[in-house]
Amino acid sequence: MRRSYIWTVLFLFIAVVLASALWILSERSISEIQVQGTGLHVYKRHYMFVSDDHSEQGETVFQAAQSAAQESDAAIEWTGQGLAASYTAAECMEIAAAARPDGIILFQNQSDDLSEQINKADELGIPVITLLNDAGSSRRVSYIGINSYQMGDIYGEQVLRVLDGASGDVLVLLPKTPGGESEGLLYTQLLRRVEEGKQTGQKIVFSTYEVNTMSSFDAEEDIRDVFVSGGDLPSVLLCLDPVSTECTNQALVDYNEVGNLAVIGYYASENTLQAIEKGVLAATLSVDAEEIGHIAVEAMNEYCETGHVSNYFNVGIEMITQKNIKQYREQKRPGNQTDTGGSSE
Amino acid sequence: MRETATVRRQDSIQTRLIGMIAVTLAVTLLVNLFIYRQVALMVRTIDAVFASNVTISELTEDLDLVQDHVYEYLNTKSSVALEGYYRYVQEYHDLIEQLNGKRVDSEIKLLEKNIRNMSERYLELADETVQAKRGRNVERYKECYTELEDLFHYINMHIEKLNSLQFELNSRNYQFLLSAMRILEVLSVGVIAALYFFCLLFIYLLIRTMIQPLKSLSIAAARVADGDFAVDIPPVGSADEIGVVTNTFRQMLESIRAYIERLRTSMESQAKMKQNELKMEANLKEAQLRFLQAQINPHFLFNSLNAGAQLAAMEDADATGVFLERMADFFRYTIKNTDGSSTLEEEIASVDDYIYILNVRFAGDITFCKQITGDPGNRRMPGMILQPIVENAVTHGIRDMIDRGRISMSVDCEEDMVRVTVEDNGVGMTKEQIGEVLSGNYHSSGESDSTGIGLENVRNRLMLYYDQEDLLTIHSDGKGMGTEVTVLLPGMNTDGD
Repeated sequence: MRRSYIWTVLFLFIAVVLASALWILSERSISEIQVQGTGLHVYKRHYMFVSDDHSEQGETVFQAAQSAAQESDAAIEWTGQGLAASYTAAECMEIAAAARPDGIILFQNQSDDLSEQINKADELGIPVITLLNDAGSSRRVSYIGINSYQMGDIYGEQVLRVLDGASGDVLVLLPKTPGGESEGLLYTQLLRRVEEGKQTGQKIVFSTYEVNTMSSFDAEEDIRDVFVSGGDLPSVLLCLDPVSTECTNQALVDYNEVGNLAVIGYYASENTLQAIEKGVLAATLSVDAEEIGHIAVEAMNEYCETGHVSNYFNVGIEMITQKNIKQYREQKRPGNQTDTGGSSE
Repeated sequence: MRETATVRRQDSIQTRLIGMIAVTLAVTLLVNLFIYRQVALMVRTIDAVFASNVTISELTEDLDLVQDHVYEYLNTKSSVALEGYYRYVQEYHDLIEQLNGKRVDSEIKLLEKNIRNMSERYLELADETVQAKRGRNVERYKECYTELEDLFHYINMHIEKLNSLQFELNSRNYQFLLSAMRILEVLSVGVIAALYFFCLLFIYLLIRTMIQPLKSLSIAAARVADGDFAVDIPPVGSADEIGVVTNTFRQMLESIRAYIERLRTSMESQAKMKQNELKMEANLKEAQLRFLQAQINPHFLFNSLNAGAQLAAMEDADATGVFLERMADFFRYTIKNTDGSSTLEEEIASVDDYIYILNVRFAGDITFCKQITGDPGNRRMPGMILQPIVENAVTHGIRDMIDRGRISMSVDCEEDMVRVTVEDNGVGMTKEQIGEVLSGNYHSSGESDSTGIGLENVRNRLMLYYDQEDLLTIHSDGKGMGTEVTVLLPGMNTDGD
């Protein structure tokens, strides 16, 4: 009798074990589905990143901003990404404002005037921070970017170094923008620095060429024209935006002009750095995109928490040549990055 | 026995079998139901997964309707359009309420939040547009409508993205669920198969547990049928019919064993009794044979002696008359008591008669002393015990010294025992002779005038009568030292009974 009970209990135990195994498996499967909707982390803040720069620079800035946002318990989205239609920065600003995030970080490569959109966002109570291209007349809460004066100075210095006392003509590829205040300031300082630094008898002639970086594919066509127009190529070619730099780099190779002219680019993308190492490009101006992204989020956090933030954050720039490229790469290697920190003004 | 034969309902095989089948069926049913529930749950989850896409489609439809009605109202200012506008605004508002409004760590959820906020802005703007139209502020409503159109477009793009992301996620979920379903299917089959196996094992083990005592019982019964009653049946713990039958069989076997033992003891006892009876019969036959050997017809002699006594009375020969009368008494007693019991008193009287006859024969030379202590009463004892002892003392002890011979008999009557001692001062006996006499191997010559009953016969009859040995003992210090024969007669005084 007692043995019968033991068998019964054993049998029931086995049945329960089998059913439990089945239950655990199915419940786990179901819970993995449900986890998509529930139990997710809720962020403290939600920012929107608006940018018309889809180059490596833009990506780096966004990734750095994302990383900084994660650290400060905030979510950041790139407005307009993944939509069926592509939108301009102005349209993205409208979208971002309508979505009512806690803040908008505007990284505008072209110098479109988005003051109206910035003001509209401000009216809706959404603070806007601009990166690299400022909208000084708007009600943006802060600007993080490069000092145009300093930039012109460094470019001028590099032009003198490239020409090394020889005479030559310099072609500056200016992005075609409606405003172009910053480029104007940069160009003026460039001229001033070269004028001050050139040697006696050294004749340096400056000319400009507008590159349409606002619409897709036009920049490459414009730069191609420089190489195939039949005219003499300049001694030095200055690029002031990443797209022009990339296009020029490719054109030098395509038209077999490597070594025939010195190209000073903008932004240290991997392609550009490799071109410098190979001697295709003479130098490039490095802007610390990661620093920009970090500072942008930190500034936005500060504004959201305190209601005010510094009006302007300066980001460090550096000219990379064949001489210091190894050192630069060493610095940028993961783990060796030093916190440069933006200087606010 | 009646109690053990009763099986409680909960212990019966029927109940246990029904219970076993019920348990296996219930477990199988429950596991099947459980599997069915899990499958149904998964199917419902798959349905729920795609339900989100349906909601998104409704969102687009309602947004289109709101936009259409705003346009129609602005175009026609019709009250129908306005009414429709308000209805769809409400519907759309209800729908966007279901969307996520938190800053959740999920692309889809953040997109939902954006759509919700954009939609709220859209509804605000739509309301502003309608109000401007009502207020005939042409410039304002046109401006608002342009903005509204842009927003409508943006929202649609975002809804499309949400739909796409949701579909992508749902497809992943669907694929995941599908693979989980396949695993569940395989596992379910495995579980059912394992359950079936364990059901069989469970039934086999339970039935074996139930049947095992029955098998043992059948083997034991077969051995019993072959006559082996020494078979050992282990006790059964179960209280079912088999347990009851086994235990009852065990008890029955034990009863049979006890009965056989009793029968054997009884038969042994009967055999012993029969043997005793035969022995007694043999002794009596021997005594009777001795009588026949003496060639005396006791009845004839007795009748003749009576006739002699009457004749002596007629002739006034008193001494002869007394002699013949005592002879007659002696022989009457002898005839009466050789095959039965007598009283101690009659025995003593028989000894007196015998001594009187001998003294007549031997002219009063035998000195006989008799001492009786206590009351002999009516104590029963086998007949013809004391006379042969006294006769033995005369014939063997003092035969050759009649003139000097002396025989003394003492009867010591106690409450539960009578001690009779017959002592002579005759030739005495050696130890060997005593042993031979007691064992019946002693044969002496010249017994022609004895009554024919030896001491061995006396001893045997005492043993058979009292079922006790050593009631007759002989003591002698050797040749010429006389002999002492002691008879112990156990038993209470039955005087007065």
